[in-house]
Amino acid sequence: MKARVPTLSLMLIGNLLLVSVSLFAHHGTFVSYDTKHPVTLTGVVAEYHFTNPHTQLYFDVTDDKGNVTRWAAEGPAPEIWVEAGWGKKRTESTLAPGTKITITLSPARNGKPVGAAAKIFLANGEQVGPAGAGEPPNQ
Amino acid sequence: MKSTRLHAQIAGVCLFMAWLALVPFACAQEQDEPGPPDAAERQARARTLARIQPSDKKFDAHDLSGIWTRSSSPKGFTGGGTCADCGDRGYGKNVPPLTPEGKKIFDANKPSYGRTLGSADAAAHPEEDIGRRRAVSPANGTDPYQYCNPMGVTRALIFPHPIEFFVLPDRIIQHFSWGEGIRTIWTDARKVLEDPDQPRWWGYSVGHWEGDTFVVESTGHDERTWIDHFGYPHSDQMRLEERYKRTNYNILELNWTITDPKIYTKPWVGDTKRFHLIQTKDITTVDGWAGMMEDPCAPADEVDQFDKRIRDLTGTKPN
Repeated sequence: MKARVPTLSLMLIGNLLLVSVSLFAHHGTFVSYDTKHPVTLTGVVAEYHFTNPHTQLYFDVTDDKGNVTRWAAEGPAPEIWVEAGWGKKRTESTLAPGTKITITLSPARNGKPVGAAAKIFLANGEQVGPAGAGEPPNQ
Repeated sequence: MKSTRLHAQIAGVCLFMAWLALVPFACAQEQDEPGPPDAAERQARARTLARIQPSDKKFDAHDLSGIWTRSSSPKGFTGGGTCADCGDRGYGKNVPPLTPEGKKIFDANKPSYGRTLGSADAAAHPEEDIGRRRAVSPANGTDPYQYCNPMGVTRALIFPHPIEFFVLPDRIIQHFSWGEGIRTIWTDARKVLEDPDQPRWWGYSVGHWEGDTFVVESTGHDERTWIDHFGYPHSDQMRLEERYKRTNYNILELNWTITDPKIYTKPWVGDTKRFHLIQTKDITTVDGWAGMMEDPCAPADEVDQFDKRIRDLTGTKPN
């Protein structure tokens, strides 16, 4: 099922995020992802992997017609999470399957439901991961 | 005075952004391979990153042991990216002309760092070598490291993650955190191999002291590695000279030159790289376990999972 981003709580992020994302110079970030048009999605965690050098988040987004799209997001390396106090156990338990999240990401330019994670929030408003969360991926 | 205060404030803001992992590329550009900071800048840095200050501690210029990093972050890691004090991520901007064979290999290498190939951004910077203006999506790229192959000496030294130097009676071992690479520099007076029978991912290296400079010569580098993440090639004929000098208790400088007539028409003098000493206790896990982190690129995670389930889906046309 093709993602219908405009119906999925999509919104453009303010200048601050645009500026901060545009400062990244990582592995293919500017080529693979549209860092100038980040989107915010609400979904449910399916899988999270605290793996080096890329952390991986898979989550399901349901549109207003009930169609479910599995999204994948790459995140910063584990040491960045660790440096901010987000170790493996804390992160994996916080992002356990079934957890409702709101995530801002830079979507793939080719329209696939893939992105570079920028910010992740829980339903209670708590931010998950390092401040600024999750710079786009390194190599 | 106002100017000094303003500079201090700007430096403080830049470093704060770096600490937030926001990777202030703009700041990095202004601080490309920074020299020893002036007093005001030192004070600004001291508030956030005391460990990268030049130190008044006495040091032995011939002792290179310890953990060194180009990253200014508190634990010495930057997650693969840039940071305010990491300096440039390439080997050098003064790229010599390529030989016809070198050009062929250069064109075949498709990196994913730098300005996007064919973009307005790339066109707006004709002063930069084309090697820094040809990034493609990793899904369309040929970067050997995205399959977890060893980085090789030059690229590993540039990467802004900790590098531990073990000094033994007959050798110095460099342990590169990123990718968990190990390189041996022999100091037992042996001669460097002129034409090794079998190239190695980490080459064949020998080192000796010339005054306070530790000079390393190496040959036999596997040509599948890249000189840096911009995809500059080298052949198995590359001869690398590294000149390390400890200029302060916590500063180590590297000047280096590549000679590879198969690929480049003249020697390539790289940009100076500067490393800061980081204490073992400053690199800790959430459990407080101190020391170098385990920082590998494991195919089971990266190739079998990440590449297949995320990276490969982001390919773009026509790259």
